[in-house]
Amino acid sequence: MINKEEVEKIAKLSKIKLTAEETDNYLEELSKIIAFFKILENIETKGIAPLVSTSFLEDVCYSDKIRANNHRRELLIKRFPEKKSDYVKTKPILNR
Amino acid sequence: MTIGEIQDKFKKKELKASTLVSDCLEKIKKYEQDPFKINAVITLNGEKALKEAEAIDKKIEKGEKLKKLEGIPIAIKDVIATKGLKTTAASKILENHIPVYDATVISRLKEEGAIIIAKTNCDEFAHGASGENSAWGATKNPFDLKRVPGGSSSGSGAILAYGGAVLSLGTDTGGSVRSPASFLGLVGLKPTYGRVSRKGLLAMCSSIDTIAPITKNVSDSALVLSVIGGKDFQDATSGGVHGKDFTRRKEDGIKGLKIGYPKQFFQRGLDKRVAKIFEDNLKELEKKGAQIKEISWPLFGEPAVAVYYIITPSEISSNLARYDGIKYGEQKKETNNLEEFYLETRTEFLGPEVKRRIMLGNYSLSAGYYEQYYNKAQRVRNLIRKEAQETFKKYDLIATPTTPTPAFELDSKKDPITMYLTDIYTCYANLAGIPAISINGGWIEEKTQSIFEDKENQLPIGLQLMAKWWDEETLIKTAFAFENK
Repeated sequence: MINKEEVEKIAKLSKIKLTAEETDNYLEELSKIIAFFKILENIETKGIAPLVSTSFLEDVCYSDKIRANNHRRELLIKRFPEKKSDYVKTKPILNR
Repeated sequence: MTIGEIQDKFKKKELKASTLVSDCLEKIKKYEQDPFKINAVITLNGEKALKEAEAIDKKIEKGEKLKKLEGIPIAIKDVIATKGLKTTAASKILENHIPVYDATVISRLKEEGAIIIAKTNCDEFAHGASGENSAWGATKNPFDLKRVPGGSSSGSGAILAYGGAVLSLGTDTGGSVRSPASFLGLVGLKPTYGRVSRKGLLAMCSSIDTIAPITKNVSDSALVLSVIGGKDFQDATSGGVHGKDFTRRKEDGIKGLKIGYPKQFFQRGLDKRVAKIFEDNLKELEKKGAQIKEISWPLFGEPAVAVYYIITPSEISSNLARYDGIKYGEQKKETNNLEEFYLETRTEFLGPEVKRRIMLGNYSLSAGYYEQYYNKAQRVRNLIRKEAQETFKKYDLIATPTTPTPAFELDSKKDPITMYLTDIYTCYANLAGIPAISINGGWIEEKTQSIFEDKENQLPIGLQLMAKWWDEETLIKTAFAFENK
């Protein structure tokens, strides 16, 4: 079953910060949900491939043509929460 | 009244489009505030809607021909992008987000003259089955203000039920349009996966998501599907002919139709009254000429729910990684570096159910668990598709109740598993990719706090029909025959 360390690890993977209380609550809830998944263990799936999508379509492509300019670029740049000319601005990755 | 009947009234000068929109806006005003506070609407598009209606009135006066949905007010679930109109996914992280383009379904609706009247409330990012997970609070059920309207397309359903719109668009990934249809006596049509373009839909589970109409009657459902359905080059998973007319064969009747019902639906948690109504529904279908037989679907029910709640959170964890405050959305500025920025922004602005699903997904996908959970679920999903394929060789439709109970009370399902199990009859169709419809099957007596004087102390319950891939026509003609019994 899932343990506290694992909850902390997946919170980190999810880029979500949890308080100690939240960690305990999620631990309880996730444990119950994961216990419910046990029902699948008894279903025989030997030789059955994983099905990623129910779409029967394959190799859908469209031609590499330039389509009309819909001025979306300007609208998107205008909407950046933080920007410097046409660049979206982010926090530094490395601490100085 | 169907859309056809409304447009007839427009042409006969018995009703103006602007009057229809005003009436809807009045209802919205009435039911969104005290004492009702249904909370179905996040963003109202009243002024624009009225202007568009007035322009259409001028068209009608000149005797110009009306487009398929011209003058009809439609409500849109707030996970579908509308250009220039706030789209929040009922989440704080997109609280002020205004898309720069229309989803394909929106373009198609606008092309046929539909008037967007409101963006409706829903579970945050469509994560839920009751409408209780919205960052703006729960939506209430107009038939009983103490109960949920169903979810996640809660607002889309409720606004239609109280007359704030004539049509609604929702999404259905695990039953999110069929659940409100069941709890509100409406028609919810989940199309075949790929029938309706997902371009512009804020993605939840890309291999399962569908955009689906909620309507008051079957004819309207068929008409909306005809407008929004069909291949879109911007959605590589979409297919079918754009412009196919789903209304054409609605009156064909169901003589000789083979309908099966899985014995596995008799499970714990099934309300006896729902079971009784379902039996009566089957008898009605028999009277109309269908042949009803019991079938066995071992993967239907709890196994499908388990598969669903492994696959959806897994895809959610990937699809919601984009909400990081960088290119759009809210942000937590008072942070020192990028890692902290991501953590603080997501932690502050994403809701608890969203977090739960993201973490569940990352767990199922992580090294050491991937094979045991995600891959296992995908293999069982393959079995589900095979099971459905075999069945539809012998049967035209499969029938079940839509939900095991009528609308439940707000705040009554605190345990996540209990909430997830409300999808017990609906998520199978999503996993297989087949189309499914929920129509009103009957009414259950229950003391209620209804907003309707003529519909008190009764709760609706839905009948669900499932068809094989791309066969929405059979769903429509059967639902139509049942509706007009």
